[in-house]
Amino acid sequence: MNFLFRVFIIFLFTYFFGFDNHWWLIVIYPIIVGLIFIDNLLSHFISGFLGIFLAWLILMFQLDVQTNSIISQKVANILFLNNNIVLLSISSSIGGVLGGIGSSFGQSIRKIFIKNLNQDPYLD
Amino acid sequence: MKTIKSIVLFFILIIFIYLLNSSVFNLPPLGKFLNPYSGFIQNGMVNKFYDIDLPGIKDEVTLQIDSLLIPHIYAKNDEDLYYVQGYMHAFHRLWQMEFQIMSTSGRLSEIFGERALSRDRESRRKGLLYAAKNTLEVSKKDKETLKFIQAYTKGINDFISSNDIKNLPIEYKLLNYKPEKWTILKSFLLMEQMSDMLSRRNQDIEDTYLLELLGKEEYDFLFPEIHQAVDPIIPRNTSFKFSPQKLTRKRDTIYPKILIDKTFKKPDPDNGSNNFAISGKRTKNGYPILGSQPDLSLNLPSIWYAIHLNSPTVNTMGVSLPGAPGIIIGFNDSIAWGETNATRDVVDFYKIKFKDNNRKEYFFDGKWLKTEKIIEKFIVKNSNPFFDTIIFTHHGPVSYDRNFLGNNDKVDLAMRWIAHDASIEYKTFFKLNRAKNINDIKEALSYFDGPAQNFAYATTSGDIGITIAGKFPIKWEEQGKFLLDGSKRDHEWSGYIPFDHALSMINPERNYVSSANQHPSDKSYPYYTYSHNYEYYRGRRLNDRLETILNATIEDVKNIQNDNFNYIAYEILPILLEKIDTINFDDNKKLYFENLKKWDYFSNPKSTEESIFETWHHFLRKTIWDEFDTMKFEYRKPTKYNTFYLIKNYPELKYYDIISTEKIEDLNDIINLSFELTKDSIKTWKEINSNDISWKNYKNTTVRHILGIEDFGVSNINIGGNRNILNAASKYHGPSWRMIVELDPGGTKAWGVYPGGQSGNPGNINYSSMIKDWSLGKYNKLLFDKFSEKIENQMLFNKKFKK
Repeated sequence: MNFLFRVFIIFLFTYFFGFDNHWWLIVIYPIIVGLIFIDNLLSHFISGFLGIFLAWLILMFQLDVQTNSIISQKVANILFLNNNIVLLSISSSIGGVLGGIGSSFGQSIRKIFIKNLNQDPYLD
Repeated sequence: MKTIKSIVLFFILIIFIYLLNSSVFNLPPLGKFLNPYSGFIQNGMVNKFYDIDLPGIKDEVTLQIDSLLIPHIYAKNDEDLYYVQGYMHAFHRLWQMEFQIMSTSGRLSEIFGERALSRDRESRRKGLLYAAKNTLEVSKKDKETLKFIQAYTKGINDFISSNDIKNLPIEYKLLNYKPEKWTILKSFLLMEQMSDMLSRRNQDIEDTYLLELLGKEEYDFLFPEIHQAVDPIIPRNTSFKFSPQKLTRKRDTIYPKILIDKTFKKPDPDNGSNNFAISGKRTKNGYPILGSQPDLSLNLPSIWYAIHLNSPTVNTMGVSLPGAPGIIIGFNDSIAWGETNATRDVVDFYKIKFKDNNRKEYFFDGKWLKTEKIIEKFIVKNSNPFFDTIIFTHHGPVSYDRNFLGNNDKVDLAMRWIAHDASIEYKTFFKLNRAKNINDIKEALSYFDGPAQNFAYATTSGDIGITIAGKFPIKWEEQGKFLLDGSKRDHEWSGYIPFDHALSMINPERNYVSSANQHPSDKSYPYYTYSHNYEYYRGRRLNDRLETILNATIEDVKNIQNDNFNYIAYEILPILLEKIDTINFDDNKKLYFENLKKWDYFSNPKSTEESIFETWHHFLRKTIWDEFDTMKFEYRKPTKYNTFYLIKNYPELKYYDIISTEKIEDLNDIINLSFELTKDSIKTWKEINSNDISWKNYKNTTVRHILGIEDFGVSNINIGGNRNILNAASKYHGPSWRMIVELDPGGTKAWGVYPGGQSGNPGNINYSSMIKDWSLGKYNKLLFDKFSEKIENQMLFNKKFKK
């Protein structure tokens, strides 16, 4: 539950509240989620990844369909990817990795402040 | 331990973000480019008309945009009018406008780094920036012109500052830079760019070498200035009533002998055009018709931007140049006009003799004159700035010297180019856009210095005319054909042909005027009008066509502009075929031969004969002029026309021999040999490409993106024609705008099409949408009315903007 909830929150914020001028500022969403929810770093990486990856993928597909894929097809060719779906997936993965690192980083800060080292994070 | 983990993750995060925002391996910064908020995908968004706001207008403005994305601007004053024109130019073409200026002012290294440096140095050494600054100074004194250009500039800048990063043209995102503020100087630089494209071609260095190598007699034989067949713009044997200022060459004129390994890159020799006006006496409806078709490099975003400008002082439509206010080729309620390039030699090089290595003084007319030294700074991406010292003499910048292409300090050549002089071309267009009759047109053209153009025009009151407008130096016979001596006063330009003496013709008896970059006149014109690049074929075909049409309709004019008749083939092919030895024919040769024999000389898209003929004539010229390929320095070969003239009239010439073989070849041999080479070459082409050698495939007309990005261009366009043909669409070059105007006093009617689209955004459906119609010879009826209400139901966008 915790995991899916995190993915959902990151997804929601990244989808609705992006930043035009400094696109990377969206990293604060996974960082904050990382600070709030306790889990292991890998799990946080994956939830951060999925949250942004899915948000970007959907955002891009929506725009792409509206515009008949004219630009994505051309850009895909320029970057030597023969297919615009591959381009959109790679683009979204970049956002995903950013989310993953952000979320793990948030969690790692949180871990500094957890007193009981032996506590199993899944019991939280 | 945990703290360390955190710190490590923190650094990974920072480095990751940093990498995604910087460009590595010439790739765009991936994060910046690929993110959905401001990355490439935003450029897919169709027309964002809702983003248009016009914060700087002084009064109410109605802006309409039609289905071709042509803006129709109805303003209450001229400043608002040009303000909105600037805004719309930037709205659709911002990147292109700025990139052209970066290129002209020699600043491409700021975007591309070191690989653009040599090109940038060439731009500055040609004196383009120097010329634009000269022009700016003079234009500042003309208050009205200045006011319009200022308003135009403000429109561009208001668009730039109100525009989000996500809406930036995709080229900025790919190359990772941002637009700068527009300035008045940049609009002048754009005109210099046009001059660079249209008036800078010269062969002074090459011809000096050829003259030295061949001797005067042989040089004149191979490179004659004019031929009997030429049908000049102003007909032969016209009498001129003015008394000219004549110059004679001194008897002892000696040209400096200088050899140079590599010369500046030259503009395309095919930059040309055709235009014509037919009097109402020769048209079906009884109104004059004007046709204008400028041939330029085929690029995307297109060089032209169609627009309709309306204010209380003007109602005009046509094409504009993004970066320049006003209409360049177009029409209004009373007149229509179009330009073709008036080729003439307006670039000369002077050998400079410096006093010493400091280059502070140079010798001229018995005295030592002071030079001016300008240190040009080049900002180079990912590298240190580069400095180039350019010496200026009163002739102009010393373009070739010890620092640049000067053969290690052996050569100093100053460049004198008419474009270096201050001028006020914009005034011509502001006046022309408002002209009501022949007198207004004449007055407007008197301000036009260059790049010199053949202006054809027609009016609703029934007049037609053509004027070769531009500033031309008065020259003695052959002055500036070869390198000149910079120390001699008589080698200098000593004056300019007055506008009253310009070649011009109004309402001639033949009831039409026309031009297609051919010779402006024969020797009856008392001034020397040399160019090495006059065209020999299109002008004759154009006049042949105009002669035969007595009741011209719009369809007839369309057919002329899209005429694929190959005049070269018509003149030379029967002679070549006659000499073909049919005994040793294989199947292919036989097929080609027989097809060519039946050919009607039209280079239609499906014609295979055109493909064969083009290849053949290429190899024929190559084999004849093989002697030239052994030359050590930069040279040129005789023109196509002269080559075929020699074949027809001189059956025995030493040039027919192929120097690499033992045998002494004659004309028959090389005609047969080049036919053989043609067959082989086509065979190879078929192996690489396809079996279909229809002209369209074989030629592969391509409209290239300015940066050469393949996927932003359009290739294999279904169009016939070629260079030296009225429908001048060659591989990368061709009719860049086709316009037809009927001067009906009840309302000017116009049709137009160009190979591109109004939007400069490769993600927009209108980016290249007109190419298909253009290739098929289809035109768009241009919506033109004095009152915005009359056409508003045909608009995609229609909004009244209040102050």
